[in-house]
Amino acid sequence: MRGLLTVLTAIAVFSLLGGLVAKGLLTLSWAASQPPVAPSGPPPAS
Amino acid sequence: MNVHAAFDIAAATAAAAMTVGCFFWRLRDAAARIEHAGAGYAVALVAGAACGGYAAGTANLWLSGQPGVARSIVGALAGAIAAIELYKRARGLRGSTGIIFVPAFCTSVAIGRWGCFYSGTTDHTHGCSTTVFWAHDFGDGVPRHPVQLYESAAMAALLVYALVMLARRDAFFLKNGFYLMVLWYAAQRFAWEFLKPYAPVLGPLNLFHLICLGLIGYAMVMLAGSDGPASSRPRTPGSS
Repeated sequence: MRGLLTVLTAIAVFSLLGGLVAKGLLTLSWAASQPPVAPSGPPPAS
Repeated sequence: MNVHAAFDIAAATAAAAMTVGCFFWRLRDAAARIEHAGAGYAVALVAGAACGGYAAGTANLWLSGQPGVARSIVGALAGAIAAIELYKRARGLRGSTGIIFVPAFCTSVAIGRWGCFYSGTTDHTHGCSTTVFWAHDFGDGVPRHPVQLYESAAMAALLVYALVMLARRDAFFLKNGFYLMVLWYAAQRFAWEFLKPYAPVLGPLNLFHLICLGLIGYAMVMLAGSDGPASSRPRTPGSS
């Protein structure tokens, strides 16, 4: 059973955590590469 | 939670369930070989897969003019193989240990690629523009090849084949199933890469093409060096 647990651990760590971390980084890098959006609405009163 | 993460979780859960099922059904011997390899086996596997996956995915992104970090499954497969082969050599281990990962890998790709498909162009896994009637708009208004679904279908087909071979207790497959999976994955991925908008690095070939060629060469060499069916080995008690 230890062999099976080793396999399941490898699958869980790589597939799940690796995938989520990769997608998180990818999303952040994509968001950072987008041009800034100009604020809408009237300018603040001075 | 975004759609890709949901499919990642579904793919990992299904892959784990498939592994447990196949372990109790046919692959107790395969798990015993990994148990014999020690805990360092899993560490080498995950580390190699993570390094290979991120290195290849990010390098391809940068070569294509896209800054950022990405992960590639073909890079992960190559990295995991390199790490495990080095680990086995250091420990003096012989023979294939990968058969138990075959159902899980096929399941994971077959499901996970749907997450890539539904993630649009931000996932960087879409195909080139095309006029075929099944083309898909990934959100940029351009009909493109749904290459993620091509890969999903190819690996679903291999999963069916693998389960049939396991049901038959096919000796050649039990011994060489992992190499057959690597050969099939790399060959079909090599074909789909021609339908993707990645930057070429050698003639018409992109980085993933080159990795696929390396994997095909690896699988061919290992299959050529195969010295007989798995059934020639002594079987452990409790194996089925």
